[in-house]
Amino acid sequence: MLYRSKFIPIVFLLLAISCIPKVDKTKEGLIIHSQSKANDLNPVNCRDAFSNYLAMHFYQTLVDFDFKDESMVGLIAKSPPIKSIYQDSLLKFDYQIRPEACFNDGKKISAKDVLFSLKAHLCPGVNSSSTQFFRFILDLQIQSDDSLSFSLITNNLGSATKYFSGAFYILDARHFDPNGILEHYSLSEIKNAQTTDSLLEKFAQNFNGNFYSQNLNGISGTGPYQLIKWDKGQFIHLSKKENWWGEQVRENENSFFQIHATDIRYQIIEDQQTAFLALQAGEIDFSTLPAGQNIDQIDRKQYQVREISRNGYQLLGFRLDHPILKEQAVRKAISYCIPRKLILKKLFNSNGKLTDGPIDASRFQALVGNSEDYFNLEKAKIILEENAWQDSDQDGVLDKVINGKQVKLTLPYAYNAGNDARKSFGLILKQEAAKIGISISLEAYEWKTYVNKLRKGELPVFFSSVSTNSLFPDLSRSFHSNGIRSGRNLFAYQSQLSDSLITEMKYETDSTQKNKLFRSICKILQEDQPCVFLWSLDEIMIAKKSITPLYSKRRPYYWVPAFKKGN
Amino acid sequence: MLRYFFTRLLWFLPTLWLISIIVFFLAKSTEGNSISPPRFLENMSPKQEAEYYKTERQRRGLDLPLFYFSIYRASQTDTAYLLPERHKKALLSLAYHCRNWPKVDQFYADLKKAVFQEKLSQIAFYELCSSYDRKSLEENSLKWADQLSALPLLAKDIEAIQQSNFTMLHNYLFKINFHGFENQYHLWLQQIIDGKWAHSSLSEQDQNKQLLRALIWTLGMSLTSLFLAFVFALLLGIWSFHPKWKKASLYLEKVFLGLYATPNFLMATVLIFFFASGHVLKWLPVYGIGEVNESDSLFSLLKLRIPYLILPLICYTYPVMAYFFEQIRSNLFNQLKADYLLTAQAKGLSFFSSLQKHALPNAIIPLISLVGSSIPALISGSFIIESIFNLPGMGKLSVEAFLSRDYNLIFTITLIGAALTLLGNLISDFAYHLIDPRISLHKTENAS
Repeated sequence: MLYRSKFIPIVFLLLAISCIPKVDKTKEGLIIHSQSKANDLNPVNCRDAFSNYLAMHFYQTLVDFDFKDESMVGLIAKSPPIKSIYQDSLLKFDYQIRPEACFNDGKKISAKDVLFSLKAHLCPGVNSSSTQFFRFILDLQIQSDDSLSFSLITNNLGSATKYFSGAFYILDARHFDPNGILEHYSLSEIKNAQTTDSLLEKFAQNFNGNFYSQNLNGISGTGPYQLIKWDKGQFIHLSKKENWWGEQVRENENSFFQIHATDIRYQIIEDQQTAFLALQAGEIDFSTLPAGQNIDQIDRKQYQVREISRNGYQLLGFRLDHPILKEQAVRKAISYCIPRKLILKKLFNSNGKLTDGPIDASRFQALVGNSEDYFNLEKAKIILEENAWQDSDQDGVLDKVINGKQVKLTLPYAYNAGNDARKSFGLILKQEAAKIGISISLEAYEWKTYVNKLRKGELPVFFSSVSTNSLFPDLSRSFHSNGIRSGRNLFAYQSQLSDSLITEMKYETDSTQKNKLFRSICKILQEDQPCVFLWSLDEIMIAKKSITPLYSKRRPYYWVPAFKKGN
Repeated sequence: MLRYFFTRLLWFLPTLWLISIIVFFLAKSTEGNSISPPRFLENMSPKQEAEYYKTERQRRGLDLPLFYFSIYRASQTDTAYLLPERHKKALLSLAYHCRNWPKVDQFYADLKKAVFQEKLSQIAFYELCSSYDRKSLEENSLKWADQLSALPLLAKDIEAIQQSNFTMLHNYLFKINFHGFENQYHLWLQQIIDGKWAHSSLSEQDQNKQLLRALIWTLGMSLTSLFLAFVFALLLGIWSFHPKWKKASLYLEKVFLGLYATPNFLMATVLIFFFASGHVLKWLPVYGIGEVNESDSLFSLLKLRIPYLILPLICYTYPVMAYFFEQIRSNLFNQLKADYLLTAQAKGLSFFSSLQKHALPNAIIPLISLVGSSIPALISGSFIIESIFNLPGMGKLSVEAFLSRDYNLIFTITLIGAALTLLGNLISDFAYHLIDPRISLHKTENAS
């Protein structure tokens, strides 16, 4: 019986093929690839970069950095605030709300709404990572509830205080606090309140719930888009609101009001290779690739490719409290072993530029000057010889007597497992360092373990990426000795001179003086060598030719609402 | 049989409970935690930073003891889980050397107070906290003597540590402390009993929907692929013994061997390239599961989803099918030597008919245990295939939960896997008995 049924599988296959419906290619709007998924769209509580980026589609802050030119611009506020000294070391920021700004039902935004928004950010129990931070805002002064003018009194956090003062999202109290709980508390009462206050606990529980983070009706703000559909982990579909208040603002005022994309679909595809194939299949309109990807296969007749220098840099870090690495000569010698230009070419297809300071390459070039490759094994050998490192036992590895003990120049290089580029970097470093008698071993750690060990200072030599933003770099944690306590100063680097310059730079408001201070700090860091600054990599963006994207230096390096579809 | 069934069920819950404890402690012993640094950290004072971490620990229940009781050295503490990771090792080491945790604890509390009040620099705080024995403490206190001179309380604490005269015995005496129900393990267990199976410890939101969806997807894909693999392997396995198919079966064997050796992620990329990317054919979509509406009927749902599932289903099915095919062929070969088969042929049955009717049931029995033991793999899904095709399965969910240290989700997923594995083993035991009643479920009967 069975051998007579040999045709069954063939019939089954034919049936299956005939059942395959045509793939739907008629989706309108923009389909944008995203490698990461959003977890929470509550603008106050969201913690990952993609959720923060998406929140900007639905909600707005008072001020933000323009995607076009990274200048500070007004969103709900008409313009960046006017700053003045209040009392002693306190600052005052005077804001003016746009008269057109309103909520979805047309109710105008007033200073009272700003006060509610601030209270929501500061309420104890709210699952936000910035609650403690916004406590630097001490008071909000308004003349009347429906006033469009108000002032914020704040502590001085340095030259970036102006931006921070307007960096909280404006929320509709009627939507987020329908029971009017926060209305019964003043700003200072909220700040001093304990989590055990039952009313505030009720507000926080409600605020942290699924409704405001994942529900279509709950995710609603002053921004240009509304959420149509969200299949977590698959896609998120937005469409532009009809009669959005921002259309009354002049379009060329800033990129936040250049809303051309009426329908956006962020498609989540975690695998880069699949995303690339999907782009070639025409199933997505825009995608990004990390530096080093081979883009030769891309059909330039159908797609446009653009490389944007990322806001950030990569470095090889040293732990200065390590018995071997506390010696400057060793750190310098290792820095001479790294052929940066060659590595950039081989590993990243030259998609990047060298940097020699704690800033991205393009800004380093503008502020300090060009970066050169100082790879020089001879120099490395000489430095080590001059500091009594020699191969006394002829095993190819240098050694030295430190504190009465014979110590071999062997160091572990740590990187996060799965990152092939960092692994390859380590192999090149190992190879070059071996030529001058330094033995490097490679150690891979799972990501969370890697970050934990890094912060605890357990990794003597490590690869790290630093993300910067549109603000002038604040080195008060990463290179200041204060940062050692919190684990942000990964190098355990201490220098009184550097500390004082970093603090001075943080509070300096004159840009010329600030730049001068930065150059001095760069010089000190290059001399002391707590790390080897490597490069800033590019982000490669591929878009269909029928799209006119808005590229930006600001993460994620594009602003989809301003994309234009069609010629 | 009923007695066996109820005995097995009785062991079910204690086994699950034991597994949950083991997984709990294994997960908690891994490095890294679920608390991400705060936004705008650069501009927060040490006090604000400490407040942030304290609040986050409280919210996630990480400020509670791990279990119902703890066993610890007399010279140390059972509240080490409250110490920041950066300082834990050094402080515990200091306590080990001076054999007096209360003194070290007081020292640490006064250090924090001093740095919050900005009476002590952050670098001095860090170096003093990093003192791991009396010698390093003395060195560090001499280094920062100018700041400590203005902090008499701290100086007193350091002196107390240096003069602590507890013997080495304190390091080898152990204490037990009972914490009652206020502990992390019980908190999670309580959530499970309350029906909050997937209450994320990161976002504090219920992820029951996501978990159920992942389970449905993984089970659906896995069971379908298992069924298809079994059916095709069975048919091909039998046909390969047919005289007309003998030559073809040799090639078939090699093809299946090749398939079995091919990694499924490579197969996935090749299939996408050939059938979905448009380079060769554009028959199927590249990724995803399609978009459906809640109002869609089952037929519309299936019609929409099927094109998206063909390629992933092939990737799930072919290695299992190759394996089953080899197993069936090998089992059938073993049965060829059996006397009953010769007898059947002597009585007039053709070789192929005797194979189908008599040898095949015996050859299938070992496969049942394979199916039962493959259930953990069915539940865990395949992270790689789910990532490539963007399927919302258990593989992806569990890897994401582990990478982000979402402990509640990790425990729940592991518990589900364990429960279904136990169930799978129970089912395969009964299936054995049903297919071959000679196989007894009781040990004593087997022994006699």
